[in-house]
Amino acid sequence: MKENSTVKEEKKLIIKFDVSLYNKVAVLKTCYVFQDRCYTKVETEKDSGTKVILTPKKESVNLQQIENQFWDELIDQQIRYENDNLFSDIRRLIIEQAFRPISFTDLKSKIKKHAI
Amino acid sequence: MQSEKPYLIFPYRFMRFNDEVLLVNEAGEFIFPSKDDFARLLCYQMDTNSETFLNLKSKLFVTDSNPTLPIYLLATKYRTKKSFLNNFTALHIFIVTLRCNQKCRYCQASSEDETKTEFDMNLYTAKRCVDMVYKSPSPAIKIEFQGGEPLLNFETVKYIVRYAKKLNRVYQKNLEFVVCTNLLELNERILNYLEEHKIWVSTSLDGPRNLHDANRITRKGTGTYDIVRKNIQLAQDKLGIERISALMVTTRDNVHKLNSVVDEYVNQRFNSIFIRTIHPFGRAAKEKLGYDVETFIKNYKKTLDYIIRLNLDGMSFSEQYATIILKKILTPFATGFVDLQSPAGTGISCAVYGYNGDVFVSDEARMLSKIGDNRFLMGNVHKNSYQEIFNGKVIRETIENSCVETMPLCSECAFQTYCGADPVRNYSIQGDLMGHRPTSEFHQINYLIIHHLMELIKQNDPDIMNIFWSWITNRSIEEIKRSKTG
Repeated sequence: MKENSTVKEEKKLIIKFDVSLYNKVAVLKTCYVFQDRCYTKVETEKDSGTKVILTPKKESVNLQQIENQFWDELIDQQIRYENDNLFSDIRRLIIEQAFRPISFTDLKSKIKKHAI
Repeated sequence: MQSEKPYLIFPYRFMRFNDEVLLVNEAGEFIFPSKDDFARLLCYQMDTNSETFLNLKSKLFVTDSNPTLPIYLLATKYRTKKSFLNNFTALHIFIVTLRCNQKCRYCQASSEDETKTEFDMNLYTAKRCVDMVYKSPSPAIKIEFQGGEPLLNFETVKYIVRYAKKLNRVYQKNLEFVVCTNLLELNERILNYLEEHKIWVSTSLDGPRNLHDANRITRKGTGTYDIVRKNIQLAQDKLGIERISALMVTTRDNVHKLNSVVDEYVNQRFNSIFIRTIHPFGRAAKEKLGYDVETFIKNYKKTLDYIIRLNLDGMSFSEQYATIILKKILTPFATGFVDLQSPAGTGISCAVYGYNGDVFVSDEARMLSKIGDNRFLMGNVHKNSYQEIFNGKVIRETIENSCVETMPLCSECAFQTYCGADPVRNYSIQGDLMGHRPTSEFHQINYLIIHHLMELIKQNDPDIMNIFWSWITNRSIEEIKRSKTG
C-alpha cells in the first residue's frame, strides 16, 4: 500500500495517494473542480498508487491553499461517490414515483428491501 | 429483509458551508448541520431523539420508521418542483420585425434600419406562427412581441392579437400578450389599443440619464432617456403601474453604480428591478461592455443589500433574480423562469418565431443564426410540421444536454435543485452544449448568488426573512408579519 503524500515543486503540486482509499470517479471529479485554477494531470503509479499533478494557471495561486482544498474536496467527492451507490435505488424510486400516476401499491412493494 | 441500521438516509447533496455543512435533498429542502453532526449522520451514530435528527427527519433527509410515506412525500415534492414540465411550451416570442429605431451598444439582435420593411413579419407568416402556437398542449399561452422594435410593425402585432383571440374562443387557453418595446413610438392610439386588449408592457431602462444614454441611443446617436421617461409615465397612468415593467442590462458603465439604477427605478414608480448580466452576443461582445465575475458579484451583493435597506425603511421594492432563486429555495414550487431550470426551458418552455417563420429554441439561438450559425434552428412554420419542429433533433439534443442532474460538477452540487443550465450560452461561449463548469461565468455567477442568498437565509434575521417572503409572495411586509402572528 502506498501512503498519501504531497510534493510541492516550484510551480506545481504533486499529490500521491492510494487508490484503495479513493475511487477513480472521486479522483477525476476532484480534478475537474480545480480546472478553473490549475492544469490537472492524473497518472497511475506502480504499486497501486495514483499521482495528480496540479499546475496553477496564474502565479498568484497559493499552492498550500490548493493542497488543503484538494484533500478536502477528495474526501467530499469520495463521500458523494459512496452516497450515490447507497442512494441510487431510492433516488430512482423517488423520480419514478414522481412521474407516474398516483399509486401507493407499487411503491410499497418496491421499498420493502429498504425497510428499517 | 430488515436493515440493522437505526435509520435510513434518503438521497441528498452536500457542500461545506463556512464552518458547517449544507445538505439539500431532492425536494429542495435544506439544513445546516454541524460538521460533527454530519459525521455522525454518515456513520449512523445519530441520536434519533436529538433535535438535529428530528429536524432531518421532518425535512425528509432520514427516517427511523417505515419509509413508504417519506418516499411518497419526496416524490410528490419532486413532482411539484418539476411541474414546469407538465404543459410544454407556454412562452412564444414573436419577432415581428428586425427594424429598430435604436442602435443600442449591447444589442444582441443585430437590428435593421427603420426603412427596411423586408425584415417585417408579414401577415401570412404571422398566421402560420399563431397556428403553430395553438398546437402547443400548454393550457397557458403567452405571446410576447419583440424585435427590433415591435411597434414599428404594429399592424402585424394587431393582426396576431386578433387572430390569437379568435383561435382562443375555440381552445379556451389562458392567453396573455406582452409587448417588449423601447417606447419611442408610443402614442395615444397605441396606448388605447394596449389598454383595450390588456397587453402587458415590458420596456428597458438602464438607470438615470447618463447611464441610460450611455448605451441606449437612437440610430442617429442621440440619447433616449427623456422620451422613455415621459412614455413610461404615460403608460403607467393609462394602463396602471402594475402593467408596465422594465428591464436593465448591467454593463461596464453601470456595474459600479447599480444603487443609482435602483433609485431611478424607485423614482419611476417601479416596484422591482431585475439586475441582469450582459449577454455576450452581438454588439456587446464587439464593444467589450462586459466585466469580470468578481466585479459583478461584488456590486450585485452591495445593491441587494441596498434594496434590503430600502425595504427595512418601509419601501416595497424587490430584486427579481433574487426573488426567483429565493422562491426555488424557500418554497416547493417551480418558478417558470426558463433560464434557470433543468432541463433548460429552451424550446420546451419558450420558443422564438423569427420574422420569416424560423423557429428557435431561444432568442440567443436566433442571434447565433443571424451570424450564420443555425445550430438551434428547430424549423420553419412554412416548411415543417409542429411534430418536426417541437419533437425534432434540435430540441431533443438541446434538452438532453441541459439536465444539471447529469452534468459534471452540477450532478453533485448542493445547489443543483435551485439552479439550471443554458445550453445555448454554453455553446456560444465554450463551443459545447454542456459547457465546462469550472470556467463558465454563467455557472460562477449563479453559484455565488445562490451562496450569498443561502448565507442570508442561514443568518435567519427575522426582518430580512420577512422581506424575502414579501418578495416571493408579492405581499407587503405588514401582511407577512400579520400572517405569522395571526
